[in-house]
Amino acid sequence: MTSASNDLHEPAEFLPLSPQDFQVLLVVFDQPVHGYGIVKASTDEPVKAVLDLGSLYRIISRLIKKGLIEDVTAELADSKRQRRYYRATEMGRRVARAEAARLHALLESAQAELRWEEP
Amino acid sequence: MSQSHSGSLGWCGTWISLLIRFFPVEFRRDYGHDMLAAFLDQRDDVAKARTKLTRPWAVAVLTVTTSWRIVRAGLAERRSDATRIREHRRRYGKEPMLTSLISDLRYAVRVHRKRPGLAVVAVITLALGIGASTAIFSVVNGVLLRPLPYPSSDQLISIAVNSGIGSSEGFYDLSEPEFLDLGTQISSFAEVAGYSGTEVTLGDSVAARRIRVVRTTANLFPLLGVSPFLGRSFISEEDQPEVPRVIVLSYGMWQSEFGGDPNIIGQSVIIADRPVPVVGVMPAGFEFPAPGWDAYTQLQINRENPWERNNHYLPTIARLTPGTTLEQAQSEVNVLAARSTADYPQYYPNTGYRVQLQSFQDSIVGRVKTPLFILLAAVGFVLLTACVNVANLLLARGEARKREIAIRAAIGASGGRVTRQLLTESFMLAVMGGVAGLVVAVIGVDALLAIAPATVPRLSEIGIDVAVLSFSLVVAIATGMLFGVIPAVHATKQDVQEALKEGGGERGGTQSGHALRRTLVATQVMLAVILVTGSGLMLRSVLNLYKVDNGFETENILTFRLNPSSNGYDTQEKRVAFYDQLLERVNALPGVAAAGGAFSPPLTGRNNNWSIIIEGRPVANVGEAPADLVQRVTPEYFAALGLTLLRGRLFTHEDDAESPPVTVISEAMAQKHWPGEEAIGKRMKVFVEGWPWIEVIGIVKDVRHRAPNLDPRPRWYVPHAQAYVSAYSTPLPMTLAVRADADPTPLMGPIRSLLTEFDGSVPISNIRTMEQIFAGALGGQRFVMTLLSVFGLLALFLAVVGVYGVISYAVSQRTHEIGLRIALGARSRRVLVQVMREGLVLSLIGVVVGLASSVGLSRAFASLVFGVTPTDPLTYVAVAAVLILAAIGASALPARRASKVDPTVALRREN
Repeated sequence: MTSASNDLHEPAEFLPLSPQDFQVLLVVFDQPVHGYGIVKASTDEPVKAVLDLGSLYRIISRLIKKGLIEDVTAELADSKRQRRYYRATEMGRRVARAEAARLHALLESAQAELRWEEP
Repeated sequence: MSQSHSGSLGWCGTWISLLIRFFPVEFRRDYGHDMLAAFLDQRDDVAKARTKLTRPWAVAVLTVTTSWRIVRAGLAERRSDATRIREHRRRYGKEPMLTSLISDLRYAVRVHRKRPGLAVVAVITLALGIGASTAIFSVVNGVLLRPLPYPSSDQLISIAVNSGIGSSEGFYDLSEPEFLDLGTQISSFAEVAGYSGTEVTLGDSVAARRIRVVRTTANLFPLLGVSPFLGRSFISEEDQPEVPRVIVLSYGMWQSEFGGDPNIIGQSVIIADRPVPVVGVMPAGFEFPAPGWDAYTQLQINRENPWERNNHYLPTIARLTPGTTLEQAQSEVNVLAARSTADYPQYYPNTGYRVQLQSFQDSIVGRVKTPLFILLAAVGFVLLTACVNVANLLLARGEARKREIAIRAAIGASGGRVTRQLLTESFMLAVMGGVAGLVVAVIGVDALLAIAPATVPRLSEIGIDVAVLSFSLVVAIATGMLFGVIPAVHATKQDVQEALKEGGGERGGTQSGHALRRTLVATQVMLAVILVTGSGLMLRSVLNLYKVDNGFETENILTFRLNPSSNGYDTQEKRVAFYDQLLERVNALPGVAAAGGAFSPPLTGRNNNWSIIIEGRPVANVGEAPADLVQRVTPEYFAALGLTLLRGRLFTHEDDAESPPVTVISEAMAQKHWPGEEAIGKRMKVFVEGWPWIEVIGIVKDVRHRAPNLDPRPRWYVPHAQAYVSAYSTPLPMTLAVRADADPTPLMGPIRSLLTEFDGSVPISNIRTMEQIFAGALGGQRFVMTLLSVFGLLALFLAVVGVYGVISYAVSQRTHEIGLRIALGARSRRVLVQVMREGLVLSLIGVVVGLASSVGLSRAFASLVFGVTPTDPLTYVAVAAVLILAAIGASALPARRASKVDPTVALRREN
């Protein structure tokens, strides 16, 4: 599970993120969370898409390959069920912020306003 | 895994861990463990929130929904995984060789399964070609290539000499002084051994039988490098005159005659009425000098006082000292020969004494080399024809697959890549053909051994071994290359745009493809011509051999050999009386037309060549005296074998020891000594001093004594009853020939009981009809003829299939054009003729080139044909006619189809 070195990448290169990728990235933004923790977090609020285990790990795998999150199990001393913990990397956080900014700009755009007027 | 979890896996955990296998293996390795842990966490949470009653239900629902999602995600991951790999390959260069080979193979299997007909025909064709080649090669390998079963067998050489007396042609066995010279004076030879085969009577008077014994010098076994299986061989002290004989048994004889008795050493067997101790048993497979020899005993040459220099009876084998070549040995021997010629001019007149050294293997198999190599070449042609046929099939299919290949080229397949794919398909056919060919070969070898003449040496060594297997492997690969490369290269040469534009359908054929196919078919016809010419020549030769006047008859004649013991018949008079009285009673048997005896009947290989003196032509020494073959016979012999008297009279029972010595000579003998004169009344005598003059009283037609295809040699006949007063001695063993009114085989019973009554101790051997002997003498030619005919027919068949294929393909390509012509008023007859002409031109080219090649190759046949020249015009014309007729037949069917083309249908189909 090696993270791709992304020193040479700009956050904008990863945009747009898929909603699920963005969601997972937000869950692990500033704290290590294990797999089931991410699933549980998705069920906390009704506005979020519900993640299932199968999709979750495909997302985790994808984000790790892109270098946006990392496996930090080794830094923690939790031995219960040998869960693995994931946390956003520095680049992951920058990408998440960039995505948030992009979505924000999108919502403020003229096209978006047109959409609001529709029933 | 489960031990480290707080809760056990449970049934649902186990189930989910199985489903995780839907993910690709790498993904599973990275996340499988964690995925399961997350599921178990979720399960525990779900379970906690429920009452005891609803808990199982909730867990079941969770498990089912998770199952479905995991399977879906797993499959999706697999798909994207595959896409990623393909993408990677597309961007970063070639696929790895192995992966592409596997995908090529899988594609090839699909292609062949889609068109099984073509694959089956191709595999059968190749199997026949490869199988036949492998079978013939296994014979060549066993007989010619594999070294003899002796250590360092390449050092073994056989020695033969020509003394200059009589014919300067040919080489024969050594005399004792010559043998002793070579053994003591040539440093190139580590050992020199002499041996001489003989037949002796084994057993007592109750159950006597003849066995074949090799008398040999004591150093033969060490020279060959073979030790006895049991006991010992002779020592040189035993190989002296007057020392009691001992015997070493062959393995076969030890088994058959003594039941493999391990205590046989030291026991005695009765040979020629004397007990002889068995000192050893040779190992199984030791067959010296040839299969079928029963035992070995001492030669016992008197080294102080050897026989005369002109008594050549001793086959000789030598082993070269390590590092010496045959040429070095030959030059050393030549010096010795020149010295001997100078020392003994009376023995070595004319060309002088010459010694021929030859590798022992060549001396055994030399004479079958030419026929075997001819057969190998012939079967190679069959294989080539098969390859051409398959290449043609593939070319035709290549035309049909042009679109497919063009599309592959259009989306980026390189020419090399497409060639590789097509070659893989061909190789797959070749390998399948090779495997099927091995089956054909195994059957073929059995068939070959069944029809092979017994005169082929080393037959027992023929079989499928590593060399043969590698041969068929190489052949299969080579054929794959041969028939695969042309279509593959051709396929990649085509214009992609043209191919796609044409639309593949009926008019998909290209001009160049068709030209290539026609060239291949012409090649097939050419190969068939060569093979059919070869078989035609052999067929005519064998027919000629049956028609040739042998000077004797073969129908309804039974022959067998009698070997009375020299103890019972110790005087010449007793010998004469035995055969006189026996033959009198045999002649009286009902059904017997004539029964006579001879020491050496035709086609049995025995010959006595004696120096003679013609009256009025004195010679200084034996070297200047003529020598001719002698035959000692009873009076009825001429009638029994049907020899034709030309002039004078034959022997009667009055011609015995008391009456004046007489001889009957052959035409060639009369021509040799009394050309242009009346030979009858002339006199001659044996060379040695003290024997009487013999008067020529009759002349008979020549007899082809050695073989039907060898010219008869001069020969003189002496009455058996008189031989001991006019020609040294009356022989004790004789072959009787009994001519019957009908099938002679039932006579053997009465003859046996008659002989038992007469003298039960006389063993009978070599019971054969004259027809069997004759067939055996023709065995070699018939073998070659049969195989060449089979190969010729096979090639002819393949050529016909080829012509048919290419013409009917051409017709199918031109349906439109032909329809148009017919619509415009062309008569169907004209169309018929035009199509057939194409087939005819094609085969004519093949026939012409084939006949020219046959002439070129005909020299190889010179030693095999009989009564025809290897360039026999009749054969060539007949072959040309057969091939052209076959080609006409092969193109007639498609031509008829073309002439029946319905213009409305043909034209509509194109639009």
